[in-house]
Amino acid sequence: MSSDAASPLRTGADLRGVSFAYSRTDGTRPFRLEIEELCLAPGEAAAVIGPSGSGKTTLVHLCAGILVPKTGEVSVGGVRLDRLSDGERRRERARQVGLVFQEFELLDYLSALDNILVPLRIRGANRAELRSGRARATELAAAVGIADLLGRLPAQLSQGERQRVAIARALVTDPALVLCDEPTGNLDPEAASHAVDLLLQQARARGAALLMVTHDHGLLDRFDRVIDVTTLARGAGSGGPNE
Amino acid sequence: MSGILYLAWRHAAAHRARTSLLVACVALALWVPWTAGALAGQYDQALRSRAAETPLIIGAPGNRYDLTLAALYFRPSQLETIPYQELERLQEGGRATFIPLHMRFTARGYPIVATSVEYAEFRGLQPAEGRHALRLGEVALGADVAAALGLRAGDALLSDPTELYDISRPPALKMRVAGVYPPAGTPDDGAVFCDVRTAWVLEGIAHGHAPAEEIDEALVLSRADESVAVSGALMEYAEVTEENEGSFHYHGDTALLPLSAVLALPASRKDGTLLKSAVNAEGSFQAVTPAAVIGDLLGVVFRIKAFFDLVGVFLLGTTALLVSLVFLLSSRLRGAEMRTLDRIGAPRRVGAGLIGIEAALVLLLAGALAGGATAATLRWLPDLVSTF
Repeated sequence: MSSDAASPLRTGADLRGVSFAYSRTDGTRPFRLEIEELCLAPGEAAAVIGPSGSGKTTLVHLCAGILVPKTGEVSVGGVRLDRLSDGERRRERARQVGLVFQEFELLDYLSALDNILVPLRIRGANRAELRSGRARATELAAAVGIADLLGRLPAQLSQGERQRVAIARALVTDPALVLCDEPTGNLDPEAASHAVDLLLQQARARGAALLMVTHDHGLLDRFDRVIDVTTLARGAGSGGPNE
Repeated sequence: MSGILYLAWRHAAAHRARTSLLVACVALALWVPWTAGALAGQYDQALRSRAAETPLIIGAPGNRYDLTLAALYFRPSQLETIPYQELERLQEGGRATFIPLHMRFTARGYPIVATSVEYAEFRGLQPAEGRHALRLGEVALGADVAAALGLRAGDALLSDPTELYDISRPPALKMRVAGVYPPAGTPDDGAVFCDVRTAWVLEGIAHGHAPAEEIDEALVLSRADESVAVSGALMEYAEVTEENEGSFHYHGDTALLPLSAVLALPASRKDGTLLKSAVNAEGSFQAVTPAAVIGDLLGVVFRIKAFFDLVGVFLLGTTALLVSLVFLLSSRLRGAEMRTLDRIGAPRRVGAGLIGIEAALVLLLAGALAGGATAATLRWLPDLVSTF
């Protein structure tokens, strides 16, 4: 990592002048996503909406450093991801970014506790880090209401319980940014509402910025901001609450 | 434990049946060539060392492999005999110490090796209990024989009958166990040792019976001044005791008493060379160097082993391909998992790492299992060398 890539100040996410494009395989015109500015402060929660194919998931992947913009800056937790090598971006992602997926994507052969600790294990956490991570995982599990289920395999959990394990996994590294790609898509309305409340509560409690892609417009009023991905090119990403 | 190693271990542990099957397949593919190699090595080493310890074997002309295998490992064979007078003639030359061997009979299935006490000294056999078989009708047992038959010094052992239809002779000789040798890890452990004179009693060349003057007149066919002709119905002694030992005697020319082979222990390498060339030049008998004969024999055996080694390599290769196929299919089935790990921030080649580590774990476990099984096989398999 270059010396100017890191900042001592912890921030959420900051995307400026980002341009990303790729050719589609179906022969239609190339996909382009332009982001003039998108800033998320620590503890701020934003919902991302937009029609299918408008670039919501691409935005999440750019914020996570999974995709690298052609031009522009992407910073997470004060670290310029766009300047890092692939390996460095992966390490930063494991350290600074928590991800919650629509299908939860738990590893079926690991217990709930081991699933929560996956981000620590894949980044090669040492014994001491694992010990503190285990304590944090237990605390998170208690906070999301699965303290008694830590020894169970995903197959032994309900959908809602799996969702909570996935939320705890996203938060266990105490990330600067939590990215959620339609995390309530597989839940019934009541469970979805509860899951979003849980995510917002836990992210805010830990001072993590939260960016959630959702199609459920009934949940939008719980966020500090709503971002329509189609308006990002016009600088909508830095607007005020519930824009 | 590294994170990726832990995940690989958990995956292997969660899929116990699949992992166990893979471990068993690889272990089996490793166990066969490892055990065969280790056994062949042991066999080779043991055969060569016993052969190398024995400088020269002298016997009747014929198959040198038969002569060597019979004299070293007491393998049953139809060796032509050499007369006792040949041993005496060789001894007169003074170039070596000569040890007679006679190996035509068995006791409870174990070879009776009739020899002299020099044989035990030459092989470093000191009785663990009792003493050497020095007297007529005595035997000293190899450790395996004593253990298998549950015999100790002072017990008795019957020879196996060879002349079932000759009712004039005792069907078997009851021999006293004079001593038991400790385990030597050689064919000596599976042999019954006695003095050559005992073998001649077994041959029927020497025998004992009641004194001529005490024989029932009904059994006397004719009497002359120096001989008595008796009926075949006169029973010979079936056991040598202190009381009847003096009555045992030979009929015929004692110089022609048969021996199976003679071990020659030359005083020097030069004496050995001269002795061997002299015996072979004369042509009536043959002198062979056991190390050379066994070397030739093992050359053939190990050419066959090389073929089996090749089969083992193919077996391993086939197993490796099948195991690779399993892991390849597994990596495809785990595609979603790999994508998740990739998105969370795992190192670029985490998928290959997980599969590779799991494969390494399987190989490690299989190697340990095959190693243990090989060691157990070598430990518990009957000693092929001493029972060669």
